[in-house]
Amino acid sequence: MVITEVSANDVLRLCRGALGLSDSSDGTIDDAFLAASLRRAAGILCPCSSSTLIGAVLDSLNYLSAEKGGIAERLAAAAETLVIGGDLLELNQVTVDDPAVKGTWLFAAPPSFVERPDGSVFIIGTVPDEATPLPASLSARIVYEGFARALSPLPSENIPSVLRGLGLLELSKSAWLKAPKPESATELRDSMLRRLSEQPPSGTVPDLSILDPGRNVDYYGGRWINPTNESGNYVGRRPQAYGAPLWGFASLVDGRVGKFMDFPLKGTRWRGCDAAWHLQMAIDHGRGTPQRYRRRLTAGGACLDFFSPLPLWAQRRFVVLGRPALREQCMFSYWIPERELATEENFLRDRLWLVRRED
Amino acid sequence: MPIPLHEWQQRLERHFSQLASERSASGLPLFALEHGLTEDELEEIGGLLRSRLAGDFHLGSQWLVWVVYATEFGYDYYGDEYWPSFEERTPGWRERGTREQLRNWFSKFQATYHGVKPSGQWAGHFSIIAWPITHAILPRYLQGQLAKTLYDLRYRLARLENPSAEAVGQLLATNAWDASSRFRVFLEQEELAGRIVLALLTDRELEGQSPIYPPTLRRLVSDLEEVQNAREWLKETRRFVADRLKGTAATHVGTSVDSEFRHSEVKENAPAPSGIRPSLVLRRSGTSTWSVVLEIPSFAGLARLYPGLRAFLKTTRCRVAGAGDTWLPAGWLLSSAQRRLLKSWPGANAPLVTFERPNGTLDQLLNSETRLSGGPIWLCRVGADGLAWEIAGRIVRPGRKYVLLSEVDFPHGYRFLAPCGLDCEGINAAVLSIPDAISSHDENGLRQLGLQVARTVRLWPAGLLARGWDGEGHSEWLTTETPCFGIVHDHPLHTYGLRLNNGAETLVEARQVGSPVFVKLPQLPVGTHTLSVRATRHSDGAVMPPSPMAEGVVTLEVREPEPWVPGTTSHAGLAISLDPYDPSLDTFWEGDVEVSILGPAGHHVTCSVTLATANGKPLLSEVIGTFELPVTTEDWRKKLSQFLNNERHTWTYLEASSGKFSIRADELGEYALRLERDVKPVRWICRSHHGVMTVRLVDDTGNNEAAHCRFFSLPHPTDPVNLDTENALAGLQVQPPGGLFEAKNGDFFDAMVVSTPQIEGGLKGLVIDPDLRDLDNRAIPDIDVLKLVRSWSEAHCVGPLVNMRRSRIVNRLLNHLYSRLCGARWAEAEASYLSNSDSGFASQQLQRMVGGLPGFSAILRRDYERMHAGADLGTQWFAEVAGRYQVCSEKGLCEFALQLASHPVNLLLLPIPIDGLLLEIKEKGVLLRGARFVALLSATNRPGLADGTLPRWKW
Repeated sequence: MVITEVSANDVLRLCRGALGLSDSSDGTIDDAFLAASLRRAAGILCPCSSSTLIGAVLDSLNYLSAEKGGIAERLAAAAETLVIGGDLLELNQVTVDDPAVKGTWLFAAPPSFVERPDGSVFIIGTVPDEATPLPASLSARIVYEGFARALSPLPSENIPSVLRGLGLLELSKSAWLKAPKPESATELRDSMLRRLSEQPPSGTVPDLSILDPGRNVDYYGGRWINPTNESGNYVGRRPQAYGAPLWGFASLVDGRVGKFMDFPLKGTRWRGCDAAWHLQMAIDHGRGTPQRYRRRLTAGGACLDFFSPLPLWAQRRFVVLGRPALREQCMFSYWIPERELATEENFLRDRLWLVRRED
Repeated sequence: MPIPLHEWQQRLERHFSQLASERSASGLPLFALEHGLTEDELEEIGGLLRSRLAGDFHLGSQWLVWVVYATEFGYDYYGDEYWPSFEERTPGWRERGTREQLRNWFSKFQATYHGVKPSGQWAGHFSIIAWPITHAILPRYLQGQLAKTLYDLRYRLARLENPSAEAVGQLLATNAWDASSRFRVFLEQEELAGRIVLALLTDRELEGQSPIYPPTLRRLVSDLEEVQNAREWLKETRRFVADRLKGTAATHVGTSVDSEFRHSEVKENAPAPSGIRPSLVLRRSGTSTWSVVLEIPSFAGLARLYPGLRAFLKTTRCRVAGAGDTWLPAGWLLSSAQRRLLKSWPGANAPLVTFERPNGTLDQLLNSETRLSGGPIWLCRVGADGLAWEIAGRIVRPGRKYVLLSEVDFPHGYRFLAPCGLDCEGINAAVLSIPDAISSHDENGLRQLGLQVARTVRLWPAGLLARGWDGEGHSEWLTTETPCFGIVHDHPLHTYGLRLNNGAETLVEARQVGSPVFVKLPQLPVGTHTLSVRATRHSDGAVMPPSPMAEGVVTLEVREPEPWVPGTTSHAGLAISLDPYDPSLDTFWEGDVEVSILGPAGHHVTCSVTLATANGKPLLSEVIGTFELPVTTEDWRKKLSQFLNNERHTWTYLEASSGKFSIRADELGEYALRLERDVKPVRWICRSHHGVMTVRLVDDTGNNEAAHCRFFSLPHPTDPVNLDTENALAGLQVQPPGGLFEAKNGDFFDAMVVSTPQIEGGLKGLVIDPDLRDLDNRAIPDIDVLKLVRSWSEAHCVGPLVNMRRSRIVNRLLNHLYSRLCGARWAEAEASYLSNSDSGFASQQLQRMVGGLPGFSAILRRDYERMHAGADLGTQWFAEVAGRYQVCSEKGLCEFALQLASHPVNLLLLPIPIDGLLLEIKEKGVLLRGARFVALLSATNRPGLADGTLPRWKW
């Protein structure tokens, strides 16, 4: 029989095999499956927009899961996590088809790895026609940490050397964890205010939404409003005719936009959202209502719970130094081993101006 | 007690006689490496042979022992020089033995035991050392490359229909184009390479006869597995291919394909998909405006299918129809899929991709595979991501939105159609919004537009996203994938009849409206397949009339997976352009490589180079420069020039046999390029010891005639001195300040400019003023001056200040040539302009001296940048101006003038009567001066060749 009728579960099982994942006969679509599907799609479609990538995977999962709207949301979250984890590169001011036009696109990262302090390595990147750039003996040993992939060495095995020999690019921690130059919250806010003041008048910006600094810093979703009669400087997003709304910094008078500065700033490598979130942290700190995180001590370390998004360069630290953890009444969590905990809490305080919430 | 040499000779004679007799039925050749001796035994006979040389004994009686001994050197050969190591470890050989003798012994081996005979171009060029190296079967330094190549080709190996030695060898030879040149030469012996691979991967005996003496094979495998990573590569390759090569039906990790299906269901005579069909996609450029983008797949897969095509692709520029007149760099389509914005509509009548030069195979494919689908309308479906991909079948569905493109005006009166803007000339666009319910009147209207309405059955790739899926029936898959499809309908149906190609129909019961069924296809062989679905409405089997309403058809184009090649930057945000596409180490070190890198702002790239000796020992690993993206060719040249001017690097380069150039951009990836020496059968090599430079001639041609060697000193670059060949072979000390060494033997030629570190006469000695009086004293013809320019400009360079010193000579020779052709005053004006190109006076002086009608030089000055659009368009412009101002009406002569003015050495390669043309051009002084004027403006505006004397136009 050449053509065989199969169930939705069978289809998912076949896909798991093709994606190099272990069998799961209960038909659930887990994070590793979504991440692997997005990686594979990125190998085929990139460079493309995030919506193209998510839309394509969503179409292929049509009717395969009872989870209706949930899959789309989970795919969007998975795509964001793959960007943070380095499997997808969101690059701005890059040319793909017209040398005269520069845009922001998602690219599939080449096969690479970063060594972790515990000796394991964090695998990054995709190849177009294969589930993994690794030979079977190594890919069978991959451990899936949510959306991420890690590989631990066998006794007396030099795993970085093996991976280098296979052609994977070793990324140094300093290169991969590159962050903006250190500065105080005041310096960042003042520098952005100066740049905003140098902008020409923006004219009307319809359907602008802004982050209201006056609202509860622990409920990110509730801080977004459409301006009515606000005056001052706000992190915001403005819709565009096509594509996702643009991030920026707005100067408002009685709810009307006087100036608007788009993020990312020219010549910077960070995403628009990273610049915006970082600035909002500086603004909140300056108002005396800094953003907060929570620490839950666990065996061998602690879970750090966050209530607002962190810039990519900050989250990457936690992916490498720790691992994603199940969230508990927060936006997302990372588990950090005890030996790194003090350094990372200092990082949160010094670079993101976060304070610990004592529950 | 040690065995005397004559007994070793007898033992080897017996061994090879027996082996030859066993192998005679199979016709398989014998290799001297199949001697069956242990390491200790080899050491023993080495000692005995060396003692033999020390005495005054006849060597020929132990010829077979010598063959084995020489073969062992071939096995340890690292791709550099064979003889120095052989002669150094065999004292007395130079005095008592000859290379010719060794060749005769190998020939005797070949005749006596049906030994292998070296063949191919390499064996022709290196006619003696080809014997011991070929008889070494697979020298050590090629072993890692073989393992890596097998790993890269594991999918293809696993699917060879007929895994014979010839087929395997051919597969390797065709596909290992990323390998080193010596490895490619090894692969030219296709059957031999195939036999080794079969033995390595399967351990099986071929027709009851082992292709290689088992202990020798075990030695090869054991040595190969010692190479870093080779064991892992071989293991993984064996996992894929072992079963297949043993002849079982399994095709991939335990999944079998129905044999009946394999033979009957692939479309008869259907060509394998070339995989180069471009896709059309529209992207919003404004609220109601769209841009047209063409996505062209990589041609790398095609280059694998057609031997020889890769060489063409990496040396030939291409152009995309509708995307402007710019020629895209050679190799542009080899690295990854590319996208181009269409500024004008190319139509369906011409191929979308064209190359600068014709190529029979490729032109045919471009003609058939890279056209737009037939017009005059094209339908693109707007997806959730806002992109609109072309629907080749022109089928529309209720509730969907499309953009319709038309070469003719849209008819009036279509209520679903709203005109929209398109940033592309020659085509109209309108947004087509299909309502949820379509009346028969509307359906007729759509049909008149050339569209069909589908309503009943929808098929889509389920689970795994299909490559190239257009939403309505076209998809691409890999041979390693198991395609699954979902089928759903919106009208009551009873069953689906599914058919793959011409196979039997499979009936699947349909579910209720809106509930899908899923079907799985087997892994499919390479080719174009069709899955059709026929809907049956009632349980009585009544079939709906055939129409798009009742049928769904999916085309599956199946290809082999493309293995990932480390060091390539496919779609990682870096667009790297190298010209030439794959330079040699020498070309790179002479600064003749142009690099440009496009990528996202705010990121940095680090370019570095490593050098290694012949046996892989690292010599240098240094950063050339770190750049902020994007990197222009000017940025690159500046940093490279600083790097190359470092004297320490110069000396290390002299020791190096190979290198690697890499561009690293951390998370964006790494691009790596192997750099190899141009190893010619006749070549000069240069060494420096305590600041004293020596050059030595290597002659591996095996010709009986000695090479002819000449020397031109830097101060007297036109006055040759003949060199004694024996001395050149032994090594010559280079007298300061150095010069050009030339050697020729038969058809083989090499030239090298050496500049010594010693400076005579203090700082003044840095600059050498060449004396060209000899050119006039000896009344040397113009064409010979041109040949001198070629000798100096094409020789490779070594030593400090060499590029500066060589440039000065080339510039002076060029100035002399143009003085002869354009007049002495013109040549003076050129020199004055080149010494200060910013001077308005100097350029005006040049303009005045062009001559002819005043408007001629004024127009040339105003529009000279048009030459940068490419040679064709530039020539067209220049000829048109020359014609308009009555300077010359012959386009051919105008082109000759431009070539002579910009790349004169190139003319020596063209099949043209150059002597006659030089005489003719002298009569057309205004034309040549005009061409030189344009060339000089262009060269000084954009840093040109030969210190700005010549522009960088591409011919």
